Amino acid sequence: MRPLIELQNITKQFPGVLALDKVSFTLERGEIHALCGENGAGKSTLIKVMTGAHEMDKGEYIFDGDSVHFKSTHEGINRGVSCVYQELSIVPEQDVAKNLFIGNLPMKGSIIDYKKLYSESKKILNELGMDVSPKSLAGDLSVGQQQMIEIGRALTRNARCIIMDEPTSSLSESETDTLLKIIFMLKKKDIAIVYISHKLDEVMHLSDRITVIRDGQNIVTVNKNEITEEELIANMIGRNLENMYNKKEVTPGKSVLEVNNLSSKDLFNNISFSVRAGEIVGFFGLVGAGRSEIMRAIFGADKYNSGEVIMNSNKLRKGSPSKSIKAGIGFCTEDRKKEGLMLQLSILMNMTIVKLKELTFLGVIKKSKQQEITNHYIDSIRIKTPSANQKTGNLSGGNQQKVVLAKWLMMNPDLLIIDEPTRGIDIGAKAEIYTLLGELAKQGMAIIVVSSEIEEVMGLSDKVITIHEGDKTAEFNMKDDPSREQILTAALGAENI
Amino acid sequence: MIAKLDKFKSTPVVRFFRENNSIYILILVIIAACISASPKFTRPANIINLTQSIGTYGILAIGLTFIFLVGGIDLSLAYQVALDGTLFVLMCNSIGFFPALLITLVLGCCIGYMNGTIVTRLKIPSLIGTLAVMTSLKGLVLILNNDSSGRAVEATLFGERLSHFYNIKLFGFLTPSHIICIIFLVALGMFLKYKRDGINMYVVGGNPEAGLFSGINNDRLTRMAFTIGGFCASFCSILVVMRMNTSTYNMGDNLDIIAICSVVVGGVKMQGGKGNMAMCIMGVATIQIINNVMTKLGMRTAMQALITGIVVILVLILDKITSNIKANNA
Amino acid sequence: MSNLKKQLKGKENFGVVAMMVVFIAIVVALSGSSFFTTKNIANLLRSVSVMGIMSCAVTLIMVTGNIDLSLGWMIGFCAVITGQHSGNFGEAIFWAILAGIGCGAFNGFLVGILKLNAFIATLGTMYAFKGITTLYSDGRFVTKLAPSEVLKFVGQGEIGGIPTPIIIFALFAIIFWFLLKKTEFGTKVYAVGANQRSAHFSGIRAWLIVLVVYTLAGLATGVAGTVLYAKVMSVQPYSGVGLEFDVLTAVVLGGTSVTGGKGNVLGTILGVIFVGILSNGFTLIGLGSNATYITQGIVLLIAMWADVKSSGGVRS
Repeated sequence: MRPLIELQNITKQFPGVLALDKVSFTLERGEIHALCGENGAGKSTLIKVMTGAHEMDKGEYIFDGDSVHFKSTHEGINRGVSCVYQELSIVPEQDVAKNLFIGNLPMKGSIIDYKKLYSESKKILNELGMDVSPKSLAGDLSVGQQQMIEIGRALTRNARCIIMDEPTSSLSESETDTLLKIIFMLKKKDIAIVYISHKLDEVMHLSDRITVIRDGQNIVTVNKNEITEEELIANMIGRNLENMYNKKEVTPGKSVLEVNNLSSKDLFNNISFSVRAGEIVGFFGLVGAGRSEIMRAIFGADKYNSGEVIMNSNKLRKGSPSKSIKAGIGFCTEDRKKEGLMLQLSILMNMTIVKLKELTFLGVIKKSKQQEITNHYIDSIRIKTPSANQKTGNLSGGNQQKVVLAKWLMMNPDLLIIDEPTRGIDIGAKAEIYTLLGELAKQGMAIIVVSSEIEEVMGLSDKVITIHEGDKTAEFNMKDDPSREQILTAALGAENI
Repeated sequence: MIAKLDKFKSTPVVRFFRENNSIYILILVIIAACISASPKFTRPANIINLTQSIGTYGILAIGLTFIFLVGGIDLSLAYQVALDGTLFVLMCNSIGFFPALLITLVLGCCIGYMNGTIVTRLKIPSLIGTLAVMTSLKGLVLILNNDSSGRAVEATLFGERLSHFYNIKLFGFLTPSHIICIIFLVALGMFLKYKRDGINMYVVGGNPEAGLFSGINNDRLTRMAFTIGGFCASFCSILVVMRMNTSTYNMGDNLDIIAICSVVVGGVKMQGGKGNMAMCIMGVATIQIINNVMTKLGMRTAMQALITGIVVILVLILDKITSNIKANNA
Repeated sequence: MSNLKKQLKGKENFGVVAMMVVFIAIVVALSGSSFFTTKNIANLLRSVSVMGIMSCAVTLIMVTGNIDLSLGWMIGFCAVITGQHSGNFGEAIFWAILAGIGCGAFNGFLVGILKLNAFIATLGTMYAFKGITTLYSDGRFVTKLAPSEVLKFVGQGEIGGIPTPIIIFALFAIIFWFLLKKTEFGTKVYAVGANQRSAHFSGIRAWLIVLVVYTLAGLATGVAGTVLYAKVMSVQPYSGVGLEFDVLTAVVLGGTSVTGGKGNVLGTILGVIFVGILSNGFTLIGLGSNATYITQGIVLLIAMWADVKSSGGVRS
């Protein structure tokens, strides 16, 4: 029998980027096929071509033996290709049943068949092992349950192939277990699964075959038992990482930040650590472990319940970013577009927004000085742009990240917190950012790097702290040369040790 | 335990209160206070009068609810009512009641459809698009009404003046505005609950992306919602003309604002995705009852406006607080 | 060709300017030379001065992504207060501005601090201000027989041949242009409108910016109210009704986006003048104000449509 999906030499060009370069991919019936690759490798473009959200430029798409060309996701859904997106598409004010059957409501003549709607929903909820009434509001469910609803939605459409894009990134451990069980159940029903995840242990546990793509090209497709996790990583990254982080020897100075017993209900408990001048501290843990939440609490963007943050031996007021900035903390957030940048405004405005006070005289901006300092940073950290007046929305991910970095560097902070410094950034820009961080540390800046890429954390940091479900599980001094496994096990929680 | 709680949460009564926030408790308190404050309130004549105005305003609010559901806003409703009413009077006088009625209703749909087209095809935000339509309609209405003087209905129906029919009573209490409003509520309520397009409207307003991914034609439903809005406006205008027996250039003034305030008080979400006919009519009833009692207590109109404004702001604040509590509990 | 298109894209107000030129050409063609007389231009500007003063301030509100529908009754309130104190200019302007600031700050409190939906919150305050104004004025037309000379000068006087209301409008235009384009505060206004979360993470107190912006609009409304009264030395409490929509039209015509983060005062001035030219032009041609309304609506539609087209459509 032919495979369910055959993609042959798919090419997709975006303005300025060749997102997919002759990628081929086959999906057998009823197999779980993991798709691995770094951010920006082309995974999401590939699945968007599969679902019909993007049209391919060149290549052939054969579904169930027929050559197809989906022009919309709707066409894809009708043929049986459903996708569970990373961003949830729940309608919060509607009940679970209607959310399950969006766009596909059971009808009796021209009227909605409520009896069938609720009984079918009940069946699907049972299949998913969810103890939720089909009449409860979708907005009242937990994020994990909402994710299950999305999978349920694919079931209501008689999907033959379900694509899951980082489905466990916002799930708790028990929810993840349930999800994995469900995936095996789907496989038994002869539904093929394309599974995208950064959690390699999940990938190794779950999948039948693994395809790695990198820089828009497919590198390898193998059966699970023919590859080790290390080989997988090597394939994803494609080169020796060591030389990317040319780490310089720095003797740490005085303590800059001290965090004592910081706790926030349901998010993290009793976090204590310190950062010294010139030191880079890496925070490693899975997405959703509470790393970002800790940083936001330290910076004052979120409130916390107990504990204290001491910056340069002064206690920081909680819940006030402006006070934290005054105390010398800079914070590059995880989500560049939503929290870091003002996309419709110029590079000039974005970069100088924190520094603004120093560039003014009686509240009036000294334009020439503003222009000068912006140009200085554009040159010194090599932001590719025609001018400082370019809208940041028009820049590439790497350049956007550099703008955010420059924004904080301008105020010359004592402590720079940087959350996922290289998410969605191409390799070249990555290396530049690593070098920059190293130089800053050498100049005596204290830096906290939060990342879910272990290579990054190990390559950059002097000290690594692992976080698991809101608890600090270990602290490693990189001078002691801890192994990858040690750090990974600590990040995966105590039971694995 | 959780299952039990879920079951409890989804029993109809509990669900009703949860979905509609605590506003209904406030409304019940207000109604109780009103009844005890003014003995004149419960007289049958007053009740009929009050429900008549609830009916008339209610029809406009029903249309607005649909526009809110898909996440739109229509600023032109007041002048739609004025234009529909003026043309209705002119046509009544020339071609008779029933043809005039028919043409006015068709006209209402057309204006609504036009608004929907401006929003979906020209991609102009509904706030600005309908502001433009409002300004243009205002000019038209003024021209048709010879600047500021009103036009009286000269035509009669079955030998009686039109205003006679506004107060005609079936079974001693059902007037045309009651009947029409109830028909609208039931028909459109059923539409929202039992028709595919009805439910999909919630998706358009609640999460348009989800709609797009599920093959729902967001634009078509948006146009449909605006068309229903226009249709309701034309019905409302006919009732207002029947009550006053004339049309004036400013007959729609404030109607739209009252309608917006009413449905928001009822719990319809202006950003879209939440609302139903019960919320809509409860909101209208609240505002009308408050106004009615204030009039019965001999309060000046200025004072009434002030209190209406305060009620709207209070309801908004209450809504904010309850939704914050909900978010913290989740 | 594509180069030209690119250039036009850069000029945000091109569509409005083009329409203005076409319209002026029609007016001149039909009415002869009467449009370009000093007297007519002065008349035109004088007629939009009150609206202009408010539009400049409202631009700031719109740039933060908010809206104010209560302005119509707010200006009525300020004008009535001016009327009640018209014997003494200092007293009149003091109370008018105080009232304006009070009303504006209340709006700012609701939208900025309580974070209520701006549209509905200001609809509520509109009702409240309507009540207050009507109670205060007893619903009656306000006029005083012996107004202060200074007040008369503010409404009807001239400085160097230019009517005072125009000068006040120009003054406000310059102040608000300067505030938005040249100061730290202005940049923060853009930041809040463009991305409130990002502004929060950059240490900007968004609630404070919104509060200040509404309060400034209140201040401008206070001054506008005084000018409104002084122009004819009498006022109806409801004389500002509908003005909020004219202001909104002018601001949007000037290229300010309703979703925030984009807009400028120069554009707004252009929008205000365009609205003025429309009504002035139709009067010159001999068509009444009704035709003005119809055209104003159509012009707004065309301008918005052009704007959407040139920016490549609203991102879906």
